[in-house]
Amino acid sequence: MTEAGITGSGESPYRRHPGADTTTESVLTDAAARALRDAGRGFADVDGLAVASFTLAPDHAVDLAWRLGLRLRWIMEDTNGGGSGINMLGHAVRAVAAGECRTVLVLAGDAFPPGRFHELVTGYNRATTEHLAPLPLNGPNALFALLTQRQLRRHGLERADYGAIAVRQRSWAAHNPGAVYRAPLTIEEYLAATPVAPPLHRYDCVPVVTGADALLVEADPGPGAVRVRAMGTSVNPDDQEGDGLVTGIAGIAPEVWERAGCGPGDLDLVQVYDDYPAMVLAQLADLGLVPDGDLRRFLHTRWESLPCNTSGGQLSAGQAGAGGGLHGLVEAVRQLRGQAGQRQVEARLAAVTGYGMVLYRYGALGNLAVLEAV
Amino acid sequence: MSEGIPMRDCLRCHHVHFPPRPVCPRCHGTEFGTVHAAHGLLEELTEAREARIGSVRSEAGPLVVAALPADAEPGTRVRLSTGTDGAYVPAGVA
Ligand SMILES: [Zn+2]
Repeated sequence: MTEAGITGSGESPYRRHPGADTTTESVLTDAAARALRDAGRGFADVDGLAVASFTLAPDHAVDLAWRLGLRLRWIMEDTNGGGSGINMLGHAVRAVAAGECRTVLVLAGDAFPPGRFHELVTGYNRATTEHLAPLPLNGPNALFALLTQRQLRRHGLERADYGAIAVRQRSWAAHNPGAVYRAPLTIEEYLAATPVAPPLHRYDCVPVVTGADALLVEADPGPGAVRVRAMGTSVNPDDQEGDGLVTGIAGIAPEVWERAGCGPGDLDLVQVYDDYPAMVLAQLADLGLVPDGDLRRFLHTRWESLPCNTSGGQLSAGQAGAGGGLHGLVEAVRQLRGQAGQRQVEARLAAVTGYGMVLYRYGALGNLAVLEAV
Repeated sequence: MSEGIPMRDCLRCHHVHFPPRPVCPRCHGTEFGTVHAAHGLLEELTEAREARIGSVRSEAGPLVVAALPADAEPGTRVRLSTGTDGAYVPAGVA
């Protein structure tokens, strides 16, 4: 087996209101160029391509390969949204390990000109077009408002508890030049924010942005690369018949820790998929970081000192469509390679989660990757 | 006016599911009857910009996402409807 490692990362700057000349292709190209530059490689070195994007249509991965001038021996396209980053990384690492290719670009991102996001969320899947959009329902905010109410009630939480997540992530974002929201957020501002779908208010919801993320996976990487120790994926663990407060990550985490040869207590860094604060809490618990299950105590003790979502997360940095599935991986790779600037933490071992694909009531896909600096 | 929400009732294990799918999520059976869920318990409610949206535990079993009339309160029984006479659940193609 060939050794595979992540040798570069890049993010095309997230923008709330991009110019008309910014397209899905332009942000994916920009992210790719940045990851290649970071790895000291060029487009000519690439022989594998993985891409996830909701807005690349009518083009696909093969069109992108042509338009980027790539000569490939391996290609894939991923449609798993918030789970796409880890899913593609896994495929890329295994393809390189099997000797099928040596240098894989892993790309994810989207451009949302006016109206495009609405089109995406109201036409997300058949369950949405047939059973949700006619309510009417425009996107997942109301569904996660219902889920957050269940979590509030189950765990005796208050809005201010979720505020601790938004406020802390914003304080990380202050040191991330790529985040769209960097100004400090106080708990008073969090609590006084405009309601979206109570208990969700403005700072509980990700800002939709145009942007893209990229990783480069290479064979026989030199020093300074990041290795994937283990990963796992869970799809449709409960037929959407549960409460959504436990993700599929809970079911796979024990075996991923076993394959990785470490546990949640060994982590220096965690990047969890933060589409909503309630899902941050759910995934941290699923990883095993809240052993007594007391979410409130966790928030007021461990949370404040845990390096988690150090880019500011999607709540502050922004959610670039499918790019959100790669965002946490890019941040973890930057941290593990010592490239995180003013927000740099001391980290050798990191866990990254993906979550998403709301089928009817909540996300049906969860995955987990354990990364290590080598 | 509707007689409740049509849901798939598995002929093999009698697990009722919604939205309708081709395979029973419990036993993987593929033959179904239809039950109509006419009422349910409103478990959670939120006020989104576009509508009052709630989770309703239907009397047939499934949790459904519904648009609620102005007077519906969490913890109360609501009438489920594919029209405007109650908690609206778009039933799609059964
Ligand atoms: Zn059955």
